Amino acid sequence: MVKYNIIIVAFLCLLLASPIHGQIIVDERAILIPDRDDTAQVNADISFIVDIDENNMEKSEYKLDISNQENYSIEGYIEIYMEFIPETIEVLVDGKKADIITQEESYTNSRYRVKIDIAPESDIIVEVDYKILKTPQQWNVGLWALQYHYNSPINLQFSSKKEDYIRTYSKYDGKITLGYEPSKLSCSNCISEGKTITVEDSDYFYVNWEKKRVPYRAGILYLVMIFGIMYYLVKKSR
Amino acid sequence: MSIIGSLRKTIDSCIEAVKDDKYLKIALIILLFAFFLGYSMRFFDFTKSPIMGEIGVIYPIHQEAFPYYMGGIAIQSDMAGSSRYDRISESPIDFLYVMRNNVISAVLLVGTGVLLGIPTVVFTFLVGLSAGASIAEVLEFAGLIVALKTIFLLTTYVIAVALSASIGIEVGSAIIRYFKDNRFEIDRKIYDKAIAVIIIVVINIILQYVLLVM
Repeated sequence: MVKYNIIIVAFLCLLLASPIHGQIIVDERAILIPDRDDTAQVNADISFIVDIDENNMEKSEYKLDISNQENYSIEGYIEIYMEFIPETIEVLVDGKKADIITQEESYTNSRYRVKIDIAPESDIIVEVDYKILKTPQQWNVGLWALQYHYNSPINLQFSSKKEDYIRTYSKYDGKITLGYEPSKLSCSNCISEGKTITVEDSDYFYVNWEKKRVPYRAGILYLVMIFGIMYYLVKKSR
Repeated sequence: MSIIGSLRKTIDSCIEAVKDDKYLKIALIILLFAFFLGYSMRFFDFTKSPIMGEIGVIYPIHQEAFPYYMGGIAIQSDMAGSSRYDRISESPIDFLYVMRNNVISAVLLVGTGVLLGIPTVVFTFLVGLSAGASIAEVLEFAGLIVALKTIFLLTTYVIAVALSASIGIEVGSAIIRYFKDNRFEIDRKIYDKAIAVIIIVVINIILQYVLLVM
């Protein structure tokens, strides 16, 4: 029995130490993270102002300054992911109203896409304005506090006939203002100060917070039950 | 007239049959205590989702009411135009779901009585726990009409569960007595209760489908 164990351990050591195993890891890395110098590059400076009022109605204005630094044209998409159906959504590309392709629209998930083409060594300005009801996280619904999450709904995807892979460098600068005092606010790549959350020079950010509430309706029935139990106990004790 | 008369007679005999029934009392005590525990847990955010709300066999009404009040969770205030979000998604529930879960929960409560009544007691407790946790959420977030419909359906469902559980517990206790005294005796009232369960389950299926699903 001991002999078999030694053989199995030796086999596993051989397998882990084999050059084939190491080669697979190196190859996967090579595919996922291409060499920066050889890759086409698009820079996107994204500035935004987000205002969420006390009724959780969110008004957002995003401005994207996208620059193509290559000497060939690049085509791509701006994808907008949302957790609800927006009341209004408008996208302007260089001041002109763009066609919004609705990929999916439901009260749990909505996705929109706008096609953009960028000429060689030039910039375009894209403005995304929308109004949407900010919904709480639906799998964790507290009666005393509802949890909210915010991150950028904007995603950029580019391609070119010349290059297989185009790297996009996004940089976010903006401000999120809440119409109420948030509780248990946690912030990644941003600074929170009272009702205001500031994002500066960051490639990614997300914010989680809770909105306190009092469950009046459920509380009334709970009080009725408590009084019922108390009445029964007092009646029986006499 | 004779049909109404015979129906009334049947209902009266059913009510008479369940009066002063100790097994029914046991089932109701378990249900009510579990309901209060479930409601307390949900009310104080001890659990932030209805307990076993996904399992339709335990308490099918939660899943039936769910698409109606998610809008209420989203809105959180009496905003103008909130009626647009009253039902934010199409209910995935169909008639088969309603029928299957009502029939199976009744059969489960009665049938598991043969295992000395212990699973019946456990399932009855779970129904109460799940119903209590669910109703707190419905009351808090649903509109008045949906909340009233849900409370009404909860009441009829609880009647079916209490009757089924009392049959299960009675069967279980008869088996225990059989082990002790080598005699298998069951009160004739159990047959009336079984008929009442069948009628109430059928009514529940129709009511749940008409009021919440259709």
